[in-house]
Amino acid sequence: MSELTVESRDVGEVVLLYPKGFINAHTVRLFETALQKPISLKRFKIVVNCSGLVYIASAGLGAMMGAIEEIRSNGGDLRLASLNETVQNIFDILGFNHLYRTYASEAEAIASFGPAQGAA
Amino acid sequence: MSGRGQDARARPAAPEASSRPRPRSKPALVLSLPSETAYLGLVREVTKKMAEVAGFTEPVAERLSLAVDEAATNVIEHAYKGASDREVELRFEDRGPDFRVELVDTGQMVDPRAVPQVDLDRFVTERRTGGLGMHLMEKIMDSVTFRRSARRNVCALVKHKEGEGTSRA
Repeated sequence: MSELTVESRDVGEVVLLYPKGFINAHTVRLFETALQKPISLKRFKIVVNCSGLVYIASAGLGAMMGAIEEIRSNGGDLRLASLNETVQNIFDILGFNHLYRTYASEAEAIASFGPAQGAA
Repeated sequence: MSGRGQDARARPAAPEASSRPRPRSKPALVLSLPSETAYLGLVREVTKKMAEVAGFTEPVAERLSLAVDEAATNVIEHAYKGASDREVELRFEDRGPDFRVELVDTGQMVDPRAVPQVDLDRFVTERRTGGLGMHLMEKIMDSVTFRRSARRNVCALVKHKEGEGTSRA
């Protein structure tokens, strides 16, 4: 049973991550590894496309928090796109909207990093 | 939903009350699981299903399953300190007006009130995420209580159906 998969692809300088399933204390390591990979490659413009994300527990939010400082201090950002109602609600509850920029679509999130990213 | 004869002892409906029958309690579903995070997916599935059967909409049921996931994670990580050979008991009850989930463990007593209050500004600067799960549980549920009884820790999560059972949170 695969509870979480995280695929990725590049669009210009932006790295897109596609978590599919749910992120909790059990699956968070996989998400963390996926998040750390672009960072280790010095790629700091990251979009997490949440369209396949059922929910994210505090462990997953902690993983994002653990990465955001390094990402931003290197001139990048971690942005989110296509949050479902549950994930959006979790973000609202925790006030994460103040910490992370969220976008209705992946294209908008990519474009937010600037015109140099090219078409998605 | 027939068999209302058994409910004849229930208080007569107030004149202005709707004809909707008062929700009845059902026998509890009790689940005993090893204290491994690998079972959190099952916890999620069962909670969601039970919440939907109790009448909650899918988005609300999904959030309730997240709250129970967080509570079970707390048990595994704090009460049992990560030991995977212990047992977590989950008790799901549709109490009519309330949906109630109890988590019972025999681990170390953890005072959840000792968890620091959520401070978003400090999350980023200090990478401190403690308290997030507890905060989520309290925001999602109407009531989160802890008690220690006969060397067992009991965490009770309650969600009222009134007002939210069939609508968005």
